[in-house]
Amino acid sequence: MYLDNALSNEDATQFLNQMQDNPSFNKILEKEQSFRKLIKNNVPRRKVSDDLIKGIMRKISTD
Amino acid sequence: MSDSKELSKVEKDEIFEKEFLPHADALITFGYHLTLFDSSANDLVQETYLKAYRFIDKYDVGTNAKAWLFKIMKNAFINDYRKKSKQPTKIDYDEVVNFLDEGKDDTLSSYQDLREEMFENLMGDEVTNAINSLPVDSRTVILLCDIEGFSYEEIAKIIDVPVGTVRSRLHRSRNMLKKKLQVYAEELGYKDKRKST
Repeated sequence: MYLDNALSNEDATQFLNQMQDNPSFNKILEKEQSFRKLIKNNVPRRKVSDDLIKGIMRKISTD
Repeated sequence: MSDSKELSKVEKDEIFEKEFLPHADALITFGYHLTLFDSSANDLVQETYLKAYRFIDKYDVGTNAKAWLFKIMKNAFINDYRKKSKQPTKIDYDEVVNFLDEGKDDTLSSYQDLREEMFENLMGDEVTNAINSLPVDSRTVILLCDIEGFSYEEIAKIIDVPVGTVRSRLHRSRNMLKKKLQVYAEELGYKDKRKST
């Protein structure tokens, strides 16, 4: 939840304090960060073709 | 929601081009991972934009166009595409699992570990294939959270489930993905030394 920015400020601070006190938690957090980065960097953003956009605009204008 | 004030054609076109069209690439990426086919993804994008335009009076200008469009696409996928392709609707077990999981610590005890060294062996194709092999509800939350950066609350609205369900579904889906990536990495020659000890 921390990595998803889903913790309140107070909970995030408490979480970070716990991380500092426990190196093994820190290792898990680093691994999870790497995993998220792996997903983000390896799922390519697809491109909509100009023809598709033109087709949509044409349909809208004739509606 | 807006008070459904009547917009002129010029106003509608302006909202459409300025607020909706910039999300076309994000939508087709989501559409592709929902349908797993380029042609179906194109159909879904078209349907999403046509519906968005038809109901543009319901959209609050300047708010979260991306989340609104994603919700339309997800509904279009469930209501139209999945029915047309005659895929059976799967039972959503999340509520049952949530009930069973209640009170459990799902942060560490069920954490699926994935060695960082494995990442070096994995390329985009393997990651995409692993995501696409997950059940549609699982790949949906991963895409919405990890690729598109939606918050739990936004995802809950897009897929019509409680925030708690988003949280638990993400946790389970990421674990499933890690297991699949581990299999891919092992097929590519990576050996997890912990297994031999």
